[in-house]
Amino acid sequence: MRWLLRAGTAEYSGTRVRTDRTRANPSSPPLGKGEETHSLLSLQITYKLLPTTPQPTFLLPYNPLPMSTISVQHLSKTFEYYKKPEGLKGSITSLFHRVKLTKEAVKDISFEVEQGEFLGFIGPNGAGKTTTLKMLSGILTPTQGTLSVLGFNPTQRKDDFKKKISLLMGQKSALWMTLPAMETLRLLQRIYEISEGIFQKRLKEFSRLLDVQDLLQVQVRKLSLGQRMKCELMAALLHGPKVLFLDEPTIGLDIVSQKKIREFLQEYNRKEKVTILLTSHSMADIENLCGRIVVINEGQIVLDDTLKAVLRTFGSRKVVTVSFSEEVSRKDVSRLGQILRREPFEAEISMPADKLKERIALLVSAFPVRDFSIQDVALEEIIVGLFQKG
Amino acid sequence: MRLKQTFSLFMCCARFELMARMESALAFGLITVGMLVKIAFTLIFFQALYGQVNTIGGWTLSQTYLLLGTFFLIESISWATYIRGFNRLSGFIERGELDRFLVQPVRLRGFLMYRFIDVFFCLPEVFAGIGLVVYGLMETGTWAYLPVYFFYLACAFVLHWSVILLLSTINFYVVFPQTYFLYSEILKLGRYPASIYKGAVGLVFSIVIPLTFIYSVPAEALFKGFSLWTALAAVGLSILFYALAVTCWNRGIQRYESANG
Repeated sequence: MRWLLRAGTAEYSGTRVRTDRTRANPSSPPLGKGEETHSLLSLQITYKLLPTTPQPTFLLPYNPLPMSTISVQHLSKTFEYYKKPEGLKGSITSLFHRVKLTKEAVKDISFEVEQGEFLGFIGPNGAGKTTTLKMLSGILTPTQGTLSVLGFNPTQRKDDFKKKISLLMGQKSALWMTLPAMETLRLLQRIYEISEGIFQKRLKEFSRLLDVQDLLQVQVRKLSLGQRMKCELMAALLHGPKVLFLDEPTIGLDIVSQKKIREFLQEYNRKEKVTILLTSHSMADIENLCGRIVVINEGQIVLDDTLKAVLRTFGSRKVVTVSFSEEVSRKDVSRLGQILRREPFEAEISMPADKLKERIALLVSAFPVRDFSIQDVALEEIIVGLFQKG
Repeated sequence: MRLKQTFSLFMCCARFELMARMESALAFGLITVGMLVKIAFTLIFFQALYGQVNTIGGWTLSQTYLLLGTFFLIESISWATYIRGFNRLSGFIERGELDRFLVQPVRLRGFLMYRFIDVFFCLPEVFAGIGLVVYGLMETGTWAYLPVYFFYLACAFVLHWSVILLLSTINFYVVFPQTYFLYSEILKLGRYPASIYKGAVGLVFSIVIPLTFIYSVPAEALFKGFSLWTALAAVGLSILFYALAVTCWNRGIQRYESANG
């Protein structure tokens, strides 16, 4: 949307011009006297109107402000559940007296995702990743906070919104098990009102890229997990969503299927500029696909940065694997750095990246080295470290 | 556009469910036989009753055939369409499978009406229902009241659907896989003329659980004709129950907490 500010009606400098990407951000300071708020989809601009004095009127150059595809502000989700004591006696007791417990699955998280971004959502089981994805796709209603996806409030579950998103869950099937995948695709064609031409075009393209041409006519229950997941992906993308939520799409798949799905997603994201939110326990998925990662633990975001920056910041160490021609004592090896693994003729040592050169020189000159190799610290190690720090 | 899409989806679902049914043709055959046995036993039961008395609650055998025909029609169509869908709700909620429906651009309560439609399942009872209504009309000779009957039948379906939706909504609060038994046991009482239920029970079956307006009122219209007060009550109750059911459903769906994360 084009914004034209007229200098003279709103003072542009020397006063408070606040831009806020939320419609109702609870943390925003209250509006002062004479301030007004104007909302444009998920963009909120507050400015102070001053007594006008005649000034030359001119138009500011058109400078569109970037709008996030996904905006999450202070989002929380609390689940209520009951504690049932063990055994039959416990069941009878809980009929009359229930101990109500609450679990804060997501605690006051905020983040934004730009169009075309491939965001990795990482966290241990029960961290709140899937709950966040379910709130973003409109399945769950947040307890607190504001959400905006493509300018829609997902909680309202509007059809126009649903037509622009897709949710794929690795552990749940959207396909009709007793019938071939093609039948489900046909049903989805009608649900999403996809014209025959577009349907055929996408069907042809996806089945070629995913190599499932011969599988679409086979009963879904007869397919392997990898084959089924490829068909699930087709079903998720058939209507051309602008935002794709992927919840562990490679779970349980063999490495060949994982690679195929990763390649497909990479290509699809690059070509279609689709915004993708991925949750996965596979670091290979994250490293190969995501430009940015959000690490979530116990419902809170502990890290939100680009993958490169994370590797640079937290990967400030290198792992050196050495083979010795003679036995070397633990004490001697410890001079090189932190020992990760040691055997009589082999060791894995963690060294600071900035001291790598001198340590390698020491290794080569003072130790009976037969062979050595240097690796970056794996993302997995970084993430584990973050979780352990809490 | 919405109507066209709904019709297209309806046809698609009917076709798919038929294909799935063909995968288990033997089971289909057994169900059909079971249905026919059930219809036969119901008729034998009423024949036996009327062998002892001339009327039940003021209804003759011919009039009771009209009631049974109406009962079979409503039961068969609802069981083949929306009860089949709503019956799965407890499982969907328990396993978190409702997720996939909630992200699709369809109105869930409407979509479940035909998503699992089974045309063949209802055919034996539909034919039996039509047969009984036609036979009853031949006996009473009141064919002119058919339009009134269809009006009350439409109200009956709205009421029936609303009652089923209300019962299904319980699943959002307590997962209740036995909803099926509630449906059948409560609604089965509608096979008997409403006039046999007197006093408070009669009032309950007229207003709280509107069985009278679902089964007896349409059947009665076939031999008594139009009554303004009954029509107004039928329309009023239909609107009331529909609004109540939809409100409760919408509240329930907001409570949905999915499963597995």
